[in-house]
Amino acid sequence: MGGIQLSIASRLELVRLLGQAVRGICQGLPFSGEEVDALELAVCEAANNAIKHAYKGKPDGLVRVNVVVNDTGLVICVQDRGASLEDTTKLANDLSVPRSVNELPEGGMGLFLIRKAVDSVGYKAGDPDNVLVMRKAFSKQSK
Amino acid sequence: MEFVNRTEQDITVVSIRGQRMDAAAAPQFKGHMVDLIQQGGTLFVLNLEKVDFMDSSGLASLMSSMKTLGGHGEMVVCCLGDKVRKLFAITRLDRGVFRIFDTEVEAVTALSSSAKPG
Repeated sequence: MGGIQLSIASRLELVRLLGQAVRGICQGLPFSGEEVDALELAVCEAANNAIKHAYKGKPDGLVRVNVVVNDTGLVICVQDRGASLEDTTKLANDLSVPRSVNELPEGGMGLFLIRKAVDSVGYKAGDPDNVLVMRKAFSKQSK
Repeated sequence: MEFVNRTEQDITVVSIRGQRMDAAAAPQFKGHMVDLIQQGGTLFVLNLEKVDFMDSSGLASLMSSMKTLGGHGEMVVCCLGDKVRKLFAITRLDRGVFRIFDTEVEAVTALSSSAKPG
C-alpha cells in the first residue's frame, strides 16, 4: 500500500509523535483548523486503543499508521498485531448524556471521538493485522 | 506532567503545567488527585489553561477523580482553551457534569458560594 508510513513501539508516551506527524500532514491539505485538531485526536485515540486494548499495555508491539492522500480526501489506517476488537458494535456506539457522577462513562469515548472526527470508520480484525480505517473528505476548496 | 496546588479557603486550585493531558499523562493526574482527596480535599478547581491537547483518557482521568470524590465535594474546571472546550462539548461533559468557568477567580468564587452552609 502506498502512502506515508509511520510507526511507533506500543508505548503510550510515543503516541504524541504519531498525532503530531498526522497534524503536520493534514495542515498541508484542504482541512480547517478544527478538522486538523480532530484528525490528530482521532489518530491518537486509535493508537491508544491499539496499545491499551490490543497489546494490553505491553511495550514490545508495533503500531503502524499509513496515511494515503487522494484527490478527494484522506485515508488513515492504524494497524496493530495484538488482540482484535471483539465487539465491533462499539464502533457505532453513541454517548449518552450523563446526569450524575455515577453515570459517567468509564470508556468508549475514544471510538466515539474517532467517529466524530472522520466521515467513516471501518475495522478489519487480524490475519495478521488489525486495521482501523478512517476516511475523511477534504472540506475546503483545493488551491 | 507537573501540578501546582494552592489552597484558598477550603478550595484547592490545581494548575496543570503540562501541555498534554493524554493517555500517557492521565495516570499521573489521577494519582495526584487521589492523593489530594485522601488528604481531605473536597473542593477543587482545575486550571487547564496550559493544556493544549486532551484525549479521552485525559477526560476519563477527570471523571475518575470526580468519582473518587464520591459526591462529597465538587470539582470544577476553568481556563479551557478552544480545543479542550470543544472536547467537553462533543462528549457532552459540559452539560451539568463539570461546571466550566472562564477564569480561576470566577471558579473559586462560584465554588466558595456553593460550599457555604445554609
